[in-house]
Amino acid sequence: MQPKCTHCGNAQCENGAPTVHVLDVEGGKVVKKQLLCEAAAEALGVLQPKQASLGMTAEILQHLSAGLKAKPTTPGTRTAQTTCPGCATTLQAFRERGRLGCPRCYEVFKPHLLRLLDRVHDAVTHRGRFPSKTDRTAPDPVTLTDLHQRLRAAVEAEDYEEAARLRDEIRKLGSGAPQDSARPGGI
Amino acid sequence: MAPGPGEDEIPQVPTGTALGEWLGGVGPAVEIALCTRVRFARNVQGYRFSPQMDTDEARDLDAFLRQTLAALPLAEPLRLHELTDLEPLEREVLVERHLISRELAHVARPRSVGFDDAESIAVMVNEEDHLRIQVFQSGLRVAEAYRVAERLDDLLIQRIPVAFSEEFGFLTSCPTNVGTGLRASVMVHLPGLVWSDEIEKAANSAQKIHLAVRGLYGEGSRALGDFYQVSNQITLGRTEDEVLDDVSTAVEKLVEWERRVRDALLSGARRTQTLDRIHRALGTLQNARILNTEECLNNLSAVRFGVHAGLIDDLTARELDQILLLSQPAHLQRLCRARLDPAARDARRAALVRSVLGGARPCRDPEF
Repeated sequence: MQPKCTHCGNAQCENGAPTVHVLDVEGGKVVKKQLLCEAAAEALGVLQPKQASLGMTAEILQHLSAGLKAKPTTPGTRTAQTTCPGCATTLQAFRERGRLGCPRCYEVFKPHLLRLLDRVHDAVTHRGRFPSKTDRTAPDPVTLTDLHQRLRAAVEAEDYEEAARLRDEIRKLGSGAPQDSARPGGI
Repeated sequence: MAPGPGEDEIPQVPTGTALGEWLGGVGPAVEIALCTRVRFARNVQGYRFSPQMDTDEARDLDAFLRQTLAALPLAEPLRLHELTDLEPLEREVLVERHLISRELAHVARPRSVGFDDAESIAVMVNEEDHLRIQVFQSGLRVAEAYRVAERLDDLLIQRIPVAFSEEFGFLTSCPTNVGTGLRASVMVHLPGLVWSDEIEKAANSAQKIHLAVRGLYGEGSRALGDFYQVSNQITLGRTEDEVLDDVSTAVEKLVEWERRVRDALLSGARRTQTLDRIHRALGTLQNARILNTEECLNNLSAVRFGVHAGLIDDLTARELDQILLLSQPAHLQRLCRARLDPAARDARRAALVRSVLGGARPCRDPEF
């Protein structure tokens, strides 16, 4: 059985099947799930209506990402909760600045980014070259970002023993890249 | 030029005085395509993107990347400069030479630049992305510039854990650069299209295939001196080869179009008008005592057209292209070894231009 749009109840409308997943998060837990068709998502302000392809510049992108903003929100609502654990960038900050905070933001804000990328690049997937060596030897970026985040927290909490352990771990991971022994901790 | 009365002398600064190889005046279609630039945007895993970094994080990463750049096995090592160590005027000189961006010149965080003596390679550290690798070549040489940039990129990628995802490619601070992180751009001189009122049509055609056409000098979309920059806008979903091909093909078409229009401007009834415009420009540059940037660039543009059309003797295209750079505000002040207010700059600019163009003269036109 085909899934139906939570808003309009149709399994198929003129824009196709419902594909937009909306999760309301409070206190780190998903409290409400919705599946919407594009028309409903646009009507609810979750998505910006799709327009003709534009010549993109960073400035236009900034306006566009700001334009993706949903209706004004209050603390505790969906928008306010979307924060990157790697760098503390919020979705709202990204929309305002048009810049992401760290590599991990690409995963955290992926649902929003996909539409943006589609408009900017007319594509959502990389087709260019891969880094020839680092993809197999470098540490997982999420792990490193996490470690840096935890190290920052440990330093702030003056837990120097934990900070030293985390710094050693970062250095160990960092040395996975060739000739990387001089790499600093990154904080 | 030494400082004049009432002008404050400034200390000499450590960067080179030679002009970049990209102003060499050689290469395919160089009468129209002055210079090609290829740049990659790259970031290091485990760090926040530059605009989000705190000062300590930026300082550590800046030091690490400078150390990495210094150790690269290049034929000629890069000269590395921490921008906080440079005078504001010297940073402006680097901006005018296209070695650093305006953002890198003015942002407060620790940041650096490394470039070779020929100024054909420049790597910015802690710009909007941790690394901006740039390669310049004179003329329309997109593939050649790319090959140099790719080799440099490979050397760096082997030494640093680069932020990359199989889905999105090379991850960048701004999503407009994600994917290949590649921007290929060509600086073009299009007086023919501007004088024939066809420039807008040309820019619109380029935009239809996702290329940006921007004025090289001046604010916003206003182009001074008929100099433009053509570059790819799309970095995701297209391979590097496709992007290079897009830019090369589009610029080749622009070059053909510009040549056709220039021929038309120099034929029939329009020839007299065109010659008048070029020779008036030469006369202004040879005699003016005050030249602001706009008037200087617009007249240099006309004279450049004339030199490449064989209408002006005793002036080389290379001399003209160098004046384009040396008459910019920061270069002018460095050349004079003095801080100049705008009025003094305009007078000095006029003197500099007269000294270079003084001996040039219009060719005898067989049709008159």
